[in-house]
Amino acid sequence: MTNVDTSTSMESPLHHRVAHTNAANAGVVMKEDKFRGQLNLRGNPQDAAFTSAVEKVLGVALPMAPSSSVRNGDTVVYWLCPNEWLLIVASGTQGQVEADLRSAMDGQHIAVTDISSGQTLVNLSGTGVAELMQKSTVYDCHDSNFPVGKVVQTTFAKTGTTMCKLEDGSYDLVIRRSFSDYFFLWLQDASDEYGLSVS
Amino acid sequence: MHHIYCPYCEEMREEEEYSYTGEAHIERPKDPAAISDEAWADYIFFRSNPRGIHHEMWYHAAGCRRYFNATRDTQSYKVHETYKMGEMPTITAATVAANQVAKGDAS
Amino acid sequence: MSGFRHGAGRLGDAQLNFTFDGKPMLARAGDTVASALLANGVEVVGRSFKYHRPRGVTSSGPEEAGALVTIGAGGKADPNARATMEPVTQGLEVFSQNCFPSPKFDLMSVNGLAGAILPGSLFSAGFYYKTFMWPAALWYKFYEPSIRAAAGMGVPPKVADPDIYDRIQMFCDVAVVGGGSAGLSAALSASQSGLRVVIFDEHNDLGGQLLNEANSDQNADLEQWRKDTIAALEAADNVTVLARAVCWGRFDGNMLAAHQSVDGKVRQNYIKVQAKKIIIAAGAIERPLVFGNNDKPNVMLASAARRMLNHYGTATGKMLAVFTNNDSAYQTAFDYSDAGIKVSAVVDSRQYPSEALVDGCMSRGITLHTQAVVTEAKGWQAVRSIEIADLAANGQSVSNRRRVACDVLAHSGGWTPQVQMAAHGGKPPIYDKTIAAFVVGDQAPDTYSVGAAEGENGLLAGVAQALEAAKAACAELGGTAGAVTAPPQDRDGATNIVPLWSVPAKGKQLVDIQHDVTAADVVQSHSEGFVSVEHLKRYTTLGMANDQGRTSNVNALAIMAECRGVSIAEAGTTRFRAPIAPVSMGGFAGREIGKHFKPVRRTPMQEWHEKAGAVFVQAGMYMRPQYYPQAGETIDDAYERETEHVRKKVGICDVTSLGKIEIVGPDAAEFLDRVYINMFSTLKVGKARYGVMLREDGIVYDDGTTSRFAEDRFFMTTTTAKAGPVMAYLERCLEIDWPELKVRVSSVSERWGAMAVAGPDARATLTAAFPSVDFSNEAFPFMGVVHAEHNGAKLVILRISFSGEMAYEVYATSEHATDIWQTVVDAGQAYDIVPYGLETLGALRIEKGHVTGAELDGRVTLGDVHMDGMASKKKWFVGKNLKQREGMVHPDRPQLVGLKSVDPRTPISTGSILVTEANATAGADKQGWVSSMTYSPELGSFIALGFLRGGKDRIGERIYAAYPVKGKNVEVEVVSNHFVDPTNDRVKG
Repeated sequence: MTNVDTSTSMESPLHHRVAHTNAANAGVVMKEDKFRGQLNLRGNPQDAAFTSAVEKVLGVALPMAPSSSVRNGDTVVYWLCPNEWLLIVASGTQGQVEADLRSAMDGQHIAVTDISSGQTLVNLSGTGVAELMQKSTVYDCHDSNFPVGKVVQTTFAKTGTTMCKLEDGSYDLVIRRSFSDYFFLWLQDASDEYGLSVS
Repeated sequence: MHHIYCPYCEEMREEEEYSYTGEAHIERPKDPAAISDEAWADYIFFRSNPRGIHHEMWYHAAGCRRYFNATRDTQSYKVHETYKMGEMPTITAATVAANQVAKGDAS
Repeated sequence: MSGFRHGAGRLGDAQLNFTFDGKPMLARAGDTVASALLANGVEVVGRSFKYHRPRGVTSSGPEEAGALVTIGAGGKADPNARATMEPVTQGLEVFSQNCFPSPKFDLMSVNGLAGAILPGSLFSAGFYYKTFMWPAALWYKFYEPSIRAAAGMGVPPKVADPDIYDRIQMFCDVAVVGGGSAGLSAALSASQSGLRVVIFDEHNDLGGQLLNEANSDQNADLEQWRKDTIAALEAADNVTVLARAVCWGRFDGNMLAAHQSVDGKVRQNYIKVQAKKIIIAAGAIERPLVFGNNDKPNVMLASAARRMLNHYGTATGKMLAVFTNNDSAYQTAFDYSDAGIKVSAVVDSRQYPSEALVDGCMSRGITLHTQAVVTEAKGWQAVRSIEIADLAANGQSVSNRRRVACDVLAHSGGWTPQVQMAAHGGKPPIYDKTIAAFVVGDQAPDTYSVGAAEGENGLLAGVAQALEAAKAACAELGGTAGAVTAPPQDRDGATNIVPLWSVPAKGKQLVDIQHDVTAADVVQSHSEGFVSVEHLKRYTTLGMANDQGRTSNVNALAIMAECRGVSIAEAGTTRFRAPIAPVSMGGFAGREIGKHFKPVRRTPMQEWHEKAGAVFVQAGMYMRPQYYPQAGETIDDAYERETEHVRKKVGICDVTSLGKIEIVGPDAAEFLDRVYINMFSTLKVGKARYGVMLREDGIVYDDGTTSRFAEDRFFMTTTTAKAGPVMAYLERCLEIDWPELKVRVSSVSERWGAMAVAGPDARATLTAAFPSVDFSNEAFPFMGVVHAEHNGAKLVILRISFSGEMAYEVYATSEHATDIWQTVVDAGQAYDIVPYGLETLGALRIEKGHVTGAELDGRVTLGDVHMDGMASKKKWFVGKNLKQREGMVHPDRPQLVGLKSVDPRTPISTGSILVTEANATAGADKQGWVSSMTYSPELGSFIALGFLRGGKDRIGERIYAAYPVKGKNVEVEVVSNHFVDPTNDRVKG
């Protein structure tokens, strides 16, 4: 009878790729921000009851401008479309945030869906990242088009991503769990000439 | 490769992010149970397929996942405008024809 | 041997070694293969496409039609490379093409003889068309192999290309195509606005025609201007300089496509540039004159001979002659003479060249023949002399033929502006009589063509045009172009051309040198009725080779226009299409090859399966376990064992790939009632129901189980294949068709890892695994739904069965899914639990008679799969209107049946045709097909599902499953599709 030992009880989508041999002076550095809470929120942006309830729970107002984001400590809110947002919260707090949102908006026509387990947050930084993005996505990542704080959903090689540029010029990318291994293999090849380091 | 304006993301995006989903402004009959077979067939199967200005529905599949409408010239492929669901086009076969007449008068 | 090193040009000092057909050769850094071959005295570089005539270097640029070589060996071999565009690198291997045993002595060149003796036979105009009209049966057997052996260029490598190619997406405000004086000026000026600028040039060195100029003290300031301008561009943050990048096409939405050769880990980049404005400064290409044997090695374009000398430090011969119909070629004669190389003649077809040119010849002692032409280039393999003659005033005849010695003939038939990128924008070019060539004229939107590309050959005048364009382009984008220094010297652009389209004399006069199309072929095309330029192109294959008509187009059009007695403008040009240069396929693929060709999606339990020794099979984008072989087991042994084990004990299977959608809102139940054929508004909270969706046209779309978590909250599963499409469909319904419904949908496919636990011991196993859950039949009946938590994991457990056994589906939050899987496996040890793969999943569901993608293939109605009874009569649903159409309910439709091999050990092939005769032939009455098959351990027989005409009423009949391709004919018995547990006793037990 087959019996396979798995030693950990929780596995991030990229847990099996940490053993990567890091290049010296890597031009691309990848860091998986594991187990962050991620919630999909849908509601009517014109409804003040909805927006104020969300603001009360999150401590920040929902970003309303297309492709914008707001940040408050560990809480990040991405605009996804006029009535949909991605909430990224501290690891393990997603259940509480979901419950708080539901109770704050009881009776409203909204949807809060916990999708934490389904996607992971990956940060890409380094001198080779700008060129790496030119090879990997059809979106124009130049600062003039993709400034700090902007959130864009687009293609990444043959999968998709929701990405945001951070203050330090690095990129946060949300990657679907089942595609994360493919994402890593792509990254490994596409950043070959810059050197890849996984931290 | 087209660069198409998403009326929800409010910026130009590569064609690769989108998929085409058929003619726009095909309204679903309100009471499908009561409708005649002919009217239903018309709703399901028959499309205008014009040469020139065409209004069509696109899906921002890799982006905001919203449907929107586009006015495109089927001869030149030029996308004249895009607009949100529920809105009406400002450029139609009629306005284009009128424009051509106006230009003709001027020259 | 005639070419040799002469002077430094602009080359570096470093010596490089390379080989040509294995022979060692020397080069200097900055050499192209062409300049290096010439410097090594190589004259014959290869053989021509059809006639196998000897060919040498004809140009110094992308228009090269003679020196086509294979670069590199093995998988790296790049056939048909233009020697003029390939830089020499240390150790480079270069091979000649199209010749056996060597370029100097080629057996196939007898074709040239046959062509001369039997005009209009082998390989003359229309050859392919005429050949295709011969009996088709002979084509594959005889003509194609022999033509392929005789024609064709180079040999594609048969092994995989080990090099890396990249596909890069760039964006810019202003794209500048061409890095000559105009392009450099436009780019630098535009860059000073702060806007983003991309500039392309095909060559390694930017500068365009400036590189033809002598690198002399007299030109030092001009050379410094070139260098400074390039340096300024390279220093600017907002400018991307793409050297060795051929911009080969312009597409909708101002997209430019380019291939760039690079040295390093990557061999080539395929670059797509989305530009707001496009400045075309692609320059002009010199055209050849059309005279006898004008394809002979050492006949080359005058500007090329000049660039070889001045830029590459390579004299193309020891004695130069020049043949021209315009002013520009004189400078080649002057530069060679000034460099101390003998110039034996300048032959000008015009009567009165300007005084300055005449003086220039006289002061250098160059013999000038005016109103004269070269009738023929002479020499066994390469030029050793030319025959010249006086041209009659009417241009129709020649007289006074005489010989002039020379070993290289530089010729110029005028200049052809590079209008391709502008023409791709949609506007046909127009004919400009003063330069005897086509120019862009009416500009496409967002496009500015400037300088020589627009027919302006003057240096300062071209730069002025470029700066105007930069100013206008920036202004439209809200920027201000900067002032840049103009070149410190001017070059007069007037060529004073008097067209000479072909020399009125006999001999093989090549129009398209690479495709071996002669002036006679153009005339023949006309006489056979192919008079439109588009027909001419296809009839003669003119302009279809690597150089894409750069040198041949205008000459051929002019000859055709003459034949037709119309103006060149009236004859027009063929339509310009991308690509304008040969481009490698590798770039298009980029890195999306091998494992990146199709992403592999992984379930959370993938590693577990790998460690357990699973054999995987592709299922959509997932690699799913097919079976878990034990030592020595075949696939059949393994799945039969797994299947039997599930029926007798318990098994576990990864079903994560199913689509999962949360449907939330007060109208969620109403919404489901519309998209499913059966009722969901009546489903109780905590229960699941199997549902079927139709397409609007009444055909079955998808099926799955939907559970009700709360009054306003449902959890839908879809098939693996339809996970994405169903989600998009539901969103579309809500957004477009029924915006009034208060429902929100979210995909949670990735959130849950899912496993099916099936078999008589499933309940006991799960009870041991999750003691907090009551799995008793009373607390957790068939189609029940339970939420639970275990070791930090959220669980949803559905009691549903796809196998006909008591079974549960356990959904666990993905990061915990492997832990939960292991928990179940550990708990199942007491019942000898086995993991099972897709083979067993399939075997179990076929035994139970459940349909899946193989059955729901987009042709099947509810009636066909005996589900019409499920369709609610109390409500409307998608597909209801059309599912009642006559053809959809016809009793003769193929209907789902079970099939059992009469000889139980004979497999039934999936895809077999169902017939009633034992040995059916092609004409047999085809009554249905087999959609899926398995061996059933339970029945001890091969069984299958299939569709049989009127099958519902044919239970008990014996028919045949025929597979003529494999010569199979299996006798089968028609049975119910529910082979196992038809009464659902086991699943409900």
